Amino acid sequence: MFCLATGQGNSNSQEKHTLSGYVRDGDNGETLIGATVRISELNTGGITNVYGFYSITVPPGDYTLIYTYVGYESITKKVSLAQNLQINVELPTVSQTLREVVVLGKAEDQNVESTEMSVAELDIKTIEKIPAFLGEVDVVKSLQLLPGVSTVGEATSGFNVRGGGVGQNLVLLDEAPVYNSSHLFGFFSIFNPDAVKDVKLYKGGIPSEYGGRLSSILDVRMKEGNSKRFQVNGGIGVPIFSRIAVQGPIIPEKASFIVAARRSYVDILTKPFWPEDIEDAGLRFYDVTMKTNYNINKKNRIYLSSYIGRDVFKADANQGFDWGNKTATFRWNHIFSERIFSNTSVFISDYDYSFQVGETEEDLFSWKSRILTYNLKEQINYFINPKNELSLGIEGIMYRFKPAEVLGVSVGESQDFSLDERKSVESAAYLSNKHTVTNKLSLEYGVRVSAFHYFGSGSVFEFDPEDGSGLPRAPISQRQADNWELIEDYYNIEPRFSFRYKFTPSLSVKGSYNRMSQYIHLVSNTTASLPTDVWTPSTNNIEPQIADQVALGLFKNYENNMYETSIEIYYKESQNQLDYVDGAQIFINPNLEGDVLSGNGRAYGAELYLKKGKGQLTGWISYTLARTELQVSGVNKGNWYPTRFDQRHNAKLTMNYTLNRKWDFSTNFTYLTGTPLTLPIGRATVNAYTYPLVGSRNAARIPDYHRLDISATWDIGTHWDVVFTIYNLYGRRNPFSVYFSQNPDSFNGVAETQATQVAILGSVIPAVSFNFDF
Amino acid sequence: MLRIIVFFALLASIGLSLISCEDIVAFDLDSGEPILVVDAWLEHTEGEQEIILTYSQPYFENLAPQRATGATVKVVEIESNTVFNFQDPDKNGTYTYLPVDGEPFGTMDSNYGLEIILDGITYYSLSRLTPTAQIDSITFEFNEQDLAYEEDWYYGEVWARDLPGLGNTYWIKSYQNGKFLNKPSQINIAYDASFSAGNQFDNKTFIQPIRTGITPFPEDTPAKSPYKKREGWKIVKDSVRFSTSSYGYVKGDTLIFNDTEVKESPKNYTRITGQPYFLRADSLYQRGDIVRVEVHSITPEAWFFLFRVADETIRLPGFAQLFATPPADVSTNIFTDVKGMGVAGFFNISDISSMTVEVRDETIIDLVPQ
Repeated sequence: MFCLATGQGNSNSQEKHTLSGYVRDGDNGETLIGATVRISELNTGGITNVYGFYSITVPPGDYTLIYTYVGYESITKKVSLAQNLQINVELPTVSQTLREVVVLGKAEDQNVESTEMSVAELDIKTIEKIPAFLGEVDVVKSLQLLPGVSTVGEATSGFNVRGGGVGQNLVLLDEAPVYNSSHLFGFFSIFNPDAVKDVKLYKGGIPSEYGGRLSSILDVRMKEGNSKRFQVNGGIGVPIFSRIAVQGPIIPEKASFIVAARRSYVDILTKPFWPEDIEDAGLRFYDVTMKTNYNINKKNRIYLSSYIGRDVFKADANQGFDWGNKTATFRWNHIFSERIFSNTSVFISDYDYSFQVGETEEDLFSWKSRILTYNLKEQINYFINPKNELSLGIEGIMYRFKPAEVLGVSVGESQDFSLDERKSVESAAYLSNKHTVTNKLSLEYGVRVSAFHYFGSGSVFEFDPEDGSGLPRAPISQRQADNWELIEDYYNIEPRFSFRYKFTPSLSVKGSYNRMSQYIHLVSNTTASLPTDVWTPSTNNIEPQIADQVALGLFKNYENNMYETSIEIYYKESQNQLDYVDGAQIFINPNLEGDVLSGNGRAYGAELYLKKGKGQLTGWISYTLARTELQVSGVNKGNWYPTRFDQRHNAKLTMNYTLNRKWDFSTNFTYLTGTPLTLPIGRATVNAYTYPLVGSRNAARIPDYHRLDISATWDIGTHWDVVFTIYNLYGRRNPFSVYFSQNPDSFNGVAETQATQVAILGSVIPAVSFNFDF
Repeated sequence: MLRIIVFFALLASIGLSLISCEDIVAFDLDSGEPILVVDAWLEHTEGEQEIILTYSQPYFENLAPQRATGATVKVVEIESNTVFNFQDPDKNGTYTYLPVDGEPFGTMDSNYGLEIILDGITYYSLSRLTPTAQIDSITFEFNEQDLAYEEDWYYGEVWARDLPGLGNTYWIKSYQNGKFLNKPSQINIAYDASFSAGNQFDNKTFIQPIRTGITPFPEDTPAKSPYKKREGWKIVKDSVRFSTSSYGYVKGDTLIFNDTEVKESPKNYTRITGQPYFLRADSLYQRGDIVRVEVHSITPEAWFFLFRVADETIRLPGFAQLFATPPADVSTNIFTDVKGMGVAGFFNISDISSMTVEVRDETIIDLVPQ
C-alpha cells in the first residue's frame, strides 16, 4: 500500500513545486494547529500540523490561496508558483464586534471533511466558557462533556474513555507522559488553562504515531508564548486557588516564552483556625508550566517546555503524603525540504509520591515510589503530493520503576523493605499515510510495530498462570536476575486504518480499525484511581494488554455548518485486562504479580452528538449508550461482570449564550446511569465479627447521577472579567457509592448492618473568580 | 497496609469531609440460601473449647444468627491420632470440649483436623498449633485533650517481639475492663512484626500502629459529624446507676443516655471514682481501667481471614469511599465435597500469651522504654 502511494507521487512526470510555511495567530504569534490552506483553482489544499506547518505540492501556475481558521479572519493570497515557495501567514483574530463563539473544530466542515473520527477536540476558548467546579476552568472535566468520555464520580482522578480504565489513557503534555493528571485527588486537572493551546482526545482510529495505551490518547499542547508583546494574565479564584501567566518575546519574532503558575491557598486561609499542635499541617497544591522557543532560522526551530506540579497533605511536620509530576520536553523542528518536516523530541517525565507516618525518628514508616521515563522520538512528515502525506517515526522509552523505597523503624530498630527497581524499554517504529484517493474517498492507513523489554536486576518470581482459585498466589520459583539481564520481551504489530467517504459536501461516513498494545499497567483495586496507585511494567507473569477496536460513524452538517451532527458506534475487545484477587496487597508487595489476575474485556456503544457552533447561542448535546465488561478467571466465578465505570446512559447538554459584549451565560447538565455496585446477599458471624456474604460482582447499580451548573461572565472593560459559577444548582446529593457496614453505634453482640449512600459533593457550590489580562 | 490506607483516608478526610455527606438508605437485597457458618477458634489453654455453628442470615436481619444444632463435631490431632469429640448438651449450637486433668488443649507444632457432619453433609478443615510471641509489658502514655479528643486520656502500647523466622502471624486481642474490643476497626493482626508478608519485618518488636492497636480510639467509631467525636467521653452522674451495657453520647449540650435525653450541660457529669462503670465499654483508656492483652498465634490463612474480615467490615465513610475496594467474599478454610454447597467461617488453634495490667502510675510512662 505504501509503495502504491509513493509510486503515485513519482509516476506523475510533470514538474511540481511546493508551497509551504507556518500559519500563526496575528495577535500573539502562536502557531495555529489545524488551519486550512486551500488553493481555490485546484480545489485542493492542506492543513497545518501540530507545529503550524503546512506543505502542498502542485504544478506551477497562478493560484489563489485561502488561509482559514475558525475565529480568525481569512486571508487570501495570489501567488505565481514557478519555484518552491515558503509563505508564512498571520491570521488576524476576528474583531470583537464580529466575534463568534468558537465551539469545536478547526475548519467549519472539518468534522465531515477529515478522515479522523472518534476524536474529541476542545478549543481552550470553548473550555473557558463551560461552567466549572469552583469556577476553575478545567481541561479534563470539559472533555467529560463529550461523548464516550466519563468518570466514576467527582473527586476521582482521570477519566474513562469508551469503557477503558483510567490507566488506559495516555496523557501527554507537550509529548511527555503524565502519570497522574489530577490535583487534590480529582477535583482539578493539572493543566493550567492559561498555558494550554490545544487539547485533542483520540478515542478510536488512533494514528500510528501514538501507542502504548489501550483506550485513548489525550494530547495536550502548550502555548509557545506571545511573540509580539508582553502579556500578563491570570485569575483570582474564591476560595480555592489563583493563577498567573506571564508571556512575551525574548527576541522579537525569534524567541518567546510563557511561564504560568497556580497555587491553592486553602491552607493559608484556614490557618488561623487551626490548633497549635497541627500548625505544620498542610493541604496545598501548586504547578508551574513553562515553555520557550527559538526560531533559529527558516528551517530550524527549537522548543523547551516543562511542567512541575505537586500536591501536599501533611498532618504535621513528620507525617503526611505528597505527590507530583515533573516533565521536561525538548523539541527540534527541522525542515529538510519544503516537503519534508521533521520533529525530534527528547523528554523526561518523573512521577513520584511519598508517604510518612510516625511522630518520632524512633518509630516511623516512610515510603517513596517513583517512575522515571526517558523518551526519544523522531517523526518525519513527508508531504508527497496533495493526495498523500506520509508520517514515519521511531520512538524509544526507557522506564525505571521504583515501586517502593520503604523504611520502617520500630523502637529504633530499622528495616529497609524496599522493592527492587524494575527497568524496561518500550520501543516502536511506525509508518502511516494520509491518502486522498478521490474527492469523496480518503484513507489513512499505517502500522506501528512495538516491542517491550523487561530487564533485571532483582528477584524474578514465577507464578502458576493456571491457578484460577482467585486467591493470592505464592511464587512457584524464584531467582535473582543480573542488572540489565533480559527477563522477558514482547512484540506486537498494531495495524491502524481509517477511511472517510463523502456522499455530499455535508455528509460523510467514516470507519476505523485499530489495534493497541499497552506494556505498563496501572494497578488499582480501589473505587477511584488514586495518586498512590502503582504502575507496573509487563513482566514474565503480567502480559501486555492488547485491544482491537472498530468504529463506524456518520457525520452530517446542516445550514452551512451551523449544526454539526454525528453518530458513531464502536466495538472493542481486549486481552490481558488486570483484575485482582480478593484482599490483594497492592502496595509494597514483592509478590504483587501473584495478586494480579488477568482476563478479557469487551466494550461497545453508540455515541450521538449534536452541536451548534455559530451564533449567539452555541452548545452541544452528547449522548452515549455503552456497556463495558470483564471476564476474569477467579473473579465472579469466571462470569462476565460490568466494570466499575460501566455507565449505560451518559447524556450531557452544554450551552453558551452571548447576550452582549458585557455578558455571557453558560450552563451544562449531566445525566449518568448509576455506576455498578456489588451487593451483600447475607451475613455471617465469626469471632463476634459480622461480615457480609457477597453476591455477583457489580450486579446492581447506585442511583442515577444528575447535575445542573450555571455560570455568567461579566466583562468589565478590556482587562478584567468576573465569572460567577454555581455548581450543582439544585444541590442534589449525587451518590458516589453505597457501602454496607455495621452501624458503629450498635453494640452488645448483635451487629446492626446498614447501607450508607455517600455523596462527595452534596450541596450547591457557588464560586466567583476574577480573571485579568494585561 | 490497611492501616496505612485508613490513615491516608483520614488525612484526606480532614480536608474534604466537610463537603461530602452520607445518608442511610434502604436497599432491596436478594438473600441467598442460608449456609453453615463455622466459628472454631480453639485455644491452647486448660479452659473449655468452643465451636459455634450458626447459619448465615439476610444482610439486614439485625438479630442474632440462628444456631445449627444436631451436628457431629470432632477435632483430630493428626500426629497422635487423638480424637476430641465436641458435644452440644444444651442444643444451642455451641459444641464444647473440656480438656482433661487441667492440661492445655493441643500439642505444640501439631496439626489438627476438624470434621463436622450436619444434615448428612460433611465439612472439614485443617489447622496447626504453633507458638506465640511473649508479651514483655503493657504501658500507657498520657495524652492531653486536643481537637480530636475532648478530655485527657491514655493510649496503651503492648511490647512484644515477633518470633524468629518469617511467616509468624498473630492476632492481638484486647479487653477493657473485661470487655473484648470487638469492633472490626479494632482487629489487630501482625504478619511477623509488621503488616504483611511482603514487609519481612522479622524478629523485631511489633511496629508502632500494631503496638498501640490495643487502644480503643474514638476513630474506631467513624465520625460522621463533629458531635460523634465526643462519644469517647466518660460522663457519669453520681446519682445515675449504670449497668455495664449502658451507653450514652453527647449531642450539642445534651447527654443522650440510653435514648433518654438528659438536658443538662455535659460538664455537670463526673466520673464515679473507683467504680468501673462506663458509658461505653470502649471509651478511651483512663486511670483505673483494667486492660488485658492476648497475643494469639494464628496460621497465615487465619491471618488472611481476619485481614479480609477487616477489609469487608471496615467500610470507610464519606470521602474515604474513594479508597474502598469492591466487596468480595471473605476467605474460609472450611470445605465440603458437595458441589455448590456454600460454607463460611474458620478453624484455627492458637497458643496464647497474655498480660493484664491496670492503668496507674506504675504502667504510665511518657517515654518509650530503652
